[in-house]
Amino acid sequence: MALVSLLFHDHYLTYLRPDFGVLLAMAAAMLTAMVFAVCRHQGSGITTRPPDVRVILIFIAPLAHLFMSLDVPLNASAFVTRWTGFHHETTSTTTTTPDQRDHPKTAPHHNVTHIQLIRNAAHYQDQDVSVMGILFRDPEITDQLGDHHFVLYRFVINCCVADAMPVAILVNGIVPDEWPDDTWVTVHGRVNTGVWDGSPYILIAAETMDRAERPKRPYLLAR
Amino acid sequence: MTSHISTNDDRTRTNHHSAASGFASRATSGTGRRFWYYTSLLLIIGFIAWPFLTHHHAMWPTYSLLFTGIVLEALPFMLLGAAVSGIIEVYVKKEWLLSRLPQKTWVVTCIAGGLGMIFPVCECAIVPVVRRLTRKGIPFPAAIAYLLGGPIVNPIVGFSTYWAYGNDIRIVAIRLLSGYLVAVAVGLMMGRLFKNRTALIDSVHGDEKHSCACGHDHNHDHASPDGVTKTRRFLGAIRHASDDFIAVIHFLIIGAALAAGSQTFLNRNLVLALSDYPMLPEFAMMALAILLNICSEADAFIAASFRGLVPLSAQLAFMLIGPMFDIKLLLMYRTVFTRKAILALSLMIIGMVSFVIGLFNLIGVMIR
Repeated sequence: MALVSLLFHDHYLTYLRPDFGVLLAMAAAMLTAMVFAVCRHQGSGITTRPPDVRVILIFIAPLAHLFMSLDVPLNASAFVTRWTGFHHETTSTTTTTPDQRDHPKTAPHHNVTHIQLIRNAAHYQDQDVSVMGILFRDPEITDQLGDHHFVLYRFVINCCVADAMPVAILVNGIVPDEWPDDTWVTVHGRVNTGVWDGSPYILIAAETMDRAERPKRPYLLAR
Repeated sequence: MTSHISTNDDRTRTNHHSAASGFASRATSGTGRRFWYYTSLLLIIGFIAWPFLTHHHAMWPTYSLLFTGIVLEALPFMLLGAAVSGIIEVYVKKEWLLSRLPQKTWVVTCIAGGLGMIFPVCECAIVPVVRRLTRKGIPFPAAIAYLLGGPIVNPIVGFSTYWAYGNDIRIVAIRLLSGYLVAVAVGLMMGRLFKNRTALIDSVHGDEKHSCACGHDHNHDHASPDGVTKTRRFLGAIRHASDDFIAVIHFLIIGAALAAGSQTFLNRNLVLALSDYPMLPEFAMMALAILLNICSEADAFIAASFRGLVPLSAQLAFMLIGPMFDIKLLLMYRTVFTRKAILALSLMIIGMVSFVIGLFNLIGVMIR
């Protein structure tokens, strides 16, 4: 029942990549078949020993945690423990990709994702873009660059939240105090690049910022 | 729910229940057993109540999210593994299987180490499959080789590694070849150390009259070709699948609970602090793989995120050890092996991976 509910309301997207919907549907079907087979066997009058109550409780544990985390995607606490810096992200090479064909240089403020920006950093240099992400005021960055700098991050997943990796860009702009960390924000501004601790990073000089609704699919996909 | 006993084979019944409950054999004395029972019961109840008590805290909803995510990710694969296991039990005759295997154990072991290329399985799905194959009598070293090699030496993992490392085929070749060598070597060493299948727990020992623990012989009773029997055989396969699923799933859940703790609270920058010392990054990355419990199909992306921060050998150590040995697997191995065997297996895996990584570093130095 929990699996079916997760599927019908797309809640599973908080935990898994979208392709897992099919696998979860298969899992629900297989579990139903198992329950049917076991019930049919028990109905044939064969005596069985009841299972250990602890085993039943262990089965319930994920349901309790599921219930309490349904609409809580990964947030700043996960960002802090997983973030290892800008080191591996940006590439200076410009290649012809579908992303670029979709967003020609002349288009003003075209919507891009963190992955598009990072993979095509040189291409977007000095371009006006709109990027959606999660706001985080990193104390180390504000100490070094000033109060008007913050991190706009997303998580990239391959299978599930366990393998989620943060990708982040820096933003230079004034954030209203009433916007706490972990607020979803869309930043409109111009792309620049810089170097932080010897690693290249992307900086957006924000012209405007809007609060955004958390997207239905909160994570970007690695592939 | 966990069993369906239809004969007087008491030994089989006892064995089956001990595997299914997973707790029965843990305490020996009456007082100790009661203490363990109530302590574990309280811990489980506390764990269920915990998210309701701490939902306002910043970290704990993340913990719940990660715990649930790990269980949900593994669930379909484990069910698939259990289904394959049920099919093997009912439709594959022990005699047929054994007659088709090469006579020499080392040959079977070498084949089993690379079997994942034909039957790709992830580490969650492989445990019930190996559990059932072992009951069917495949040589113990071969079972180990498939258990360790299957989740690494397979095309899906090869593809994800290729993708994660920017289409570098060399990393794929090094990973798969190293994984194969470690799997076969550990399989053969375990076979030498544990003669006569003494590493297996009773319920998977496979020396009872019937390979199946439900008390009747599927290999004969259900061989009749009429339609009713076919239905019964099919339902029997599903029942066996459910038995295997139940026997393993609670270990997965406990493992996921521990892994989610590491995922939530362990800061990955700790690994980077060790990167200036020789061999420490390798061991730190191995420890990270053991604690994080990431699926073998996704771990290359995590390893690749450490490029430029730790040496390639440390990234390789992470990708080798994770699919063979982590917290979740350590608990799931309890459904197949004795504690002594798990200890030996863990040490051998760590030892062999360290040896391969050392060799990799040595070759790197020689080339330079």
